[in-house]
Amino acid sequence: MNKNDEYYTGGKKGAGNSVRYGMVIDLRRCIGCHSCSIHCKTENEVPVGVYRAWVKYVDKGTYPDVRRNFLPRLCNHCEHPMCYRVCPTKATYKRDDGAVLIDNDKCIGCRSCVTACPYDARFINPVTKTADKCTFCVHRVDKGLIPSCVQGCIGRARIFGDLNDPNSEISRYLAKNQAKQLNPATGNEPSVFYIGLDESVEEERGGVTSVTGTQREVRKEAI
Amino acid sequence: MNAIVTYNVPHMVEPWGMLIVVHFFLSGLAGGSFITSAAASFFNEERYKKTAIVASYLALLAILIDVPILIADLDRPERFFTLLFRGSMTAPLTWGTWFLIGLGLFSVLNIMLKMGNPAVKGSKGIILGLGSVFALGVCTYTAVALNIATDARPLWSNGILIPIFIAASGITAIATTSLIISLGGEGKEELSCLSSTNAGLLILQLIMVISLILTTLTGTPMSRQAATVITSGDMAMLFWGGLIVVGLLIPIFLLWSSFIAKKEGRISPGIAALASVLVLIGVFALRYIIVSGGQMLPLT
Repeated sequence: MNKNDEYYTGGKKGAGNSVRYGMVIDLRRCIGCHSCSIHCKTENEVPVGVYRAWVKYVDKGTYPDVRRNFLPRLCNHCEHPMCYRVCPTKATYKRDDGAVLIDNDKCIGCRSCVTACPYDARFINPVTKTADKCTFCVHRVDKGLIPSCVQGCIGRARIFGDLNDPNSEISRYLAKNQAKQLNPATGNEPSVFYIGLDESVEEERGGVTSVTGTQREVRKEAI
Repeated sequence: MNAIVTYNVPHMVEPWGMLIVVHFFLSGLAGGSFITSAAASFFNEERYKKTAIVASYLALLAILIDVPILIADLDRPERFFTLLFRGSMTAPLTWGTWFLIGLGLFSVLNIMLKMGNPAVKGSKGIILGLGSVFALGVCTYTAVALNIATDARPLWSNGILIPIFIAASGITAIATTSLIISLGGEGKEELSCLSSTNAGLLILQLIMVISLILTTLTGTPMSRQAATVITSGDMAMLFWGGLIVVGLLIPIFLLWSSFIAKKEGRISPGIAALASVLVLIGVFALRYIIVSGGQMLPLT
């Protein structure tokens, strides 16, 4: 990969510099195709039934004036991640470049981080029986590549890069467009930003693949 | 405008399940029993001898059952020992590990004290005092673990959860001790003292539980939704029936009408046993409602 390639991130390593990786998702460009989910699944061998990246659908309005909104989701790699604070074995750690990662050899599967994450980004990997989530594809980023979901996005809705570099594409994009983080009131300070985020899309909760009683009611209403 | 989620991936709908509920109940029993035993020894060792002895054994027994359950709840139980040397000080589970270990050790020392072992006779104050600190830690850390979790779970982030859990621990311990003493059929004086203490704690608990629900009901829209799950949603039957009526109002009425209202009265072992069983059902319902009910709303 050479420097003129549009996917080149500079190949910056995590330690010893002031890089802070982040992602912008421009919802005006998202068509809800699930390419990101599929690219993430294949790149990271995410087991069946769990997702590191997924797309939430929220239908808004009353017939005939209805619009389907898409909200691609992943770990927010927060600046002050609560999952990191509650991990009793220091299995969850944060790299200097901002990526929040899990050491599979240290995780005891207590699920403290799963309950602590306000964004439902974490789950227990059914194969390793340890906590799992998006890694910002650091194995690719460290080699100068962009995360798999960004590469696979057909609408180029995702931009990944260094938030601390004012000349990076992501910084320039954020300077030009008004962006929001998900549920900023939790104080975790996500590094994933959304452009064109409708608050009701974020606030509406539940889903068709859920199992508890409360969520089943949501499903009935949806159908 | 109408908005409805038509597709989403809620991950673990209930990361903490029934084993955690049982752990919360047993850790409350362990911590509360040690404090009950210590208080009985501190105030009048001779008068409350049975209470001090029964509660000291209860504390150790509860820990011996509780710790394997806690380990079994891990997805990688074989790695539990790493909690002892990797401990992150910001994690409530680390504090809990040390509180449980400490309480286990002090429970053994307390039993040795009650058996009149000469090796520990001179350090009664230290054993009961320091042990009570660990016991209070065990009663409290479970609430802190929920408290610290996230603002996205309004029922858990409420600060009143800490006194509620401390009171629940005391109530569990006193009710179990009363039940065991009443089954023996003797010790009416001790039973009366235990029952009146529990009646006071139950009234306090009723006020705190109502405060928890009211503060959650008057919060943000998400907070209101969380409270509604408890008051009129999936948890309503258990909350109103199990906790409020069976676990709080009936025991308070039983204890009040049978002897507190009759000055100088003595409680009958039957009434004390019945009230204790109802109270234990109520505390278990409370633990379940908080742990499970707190996770009922999808996060995203």
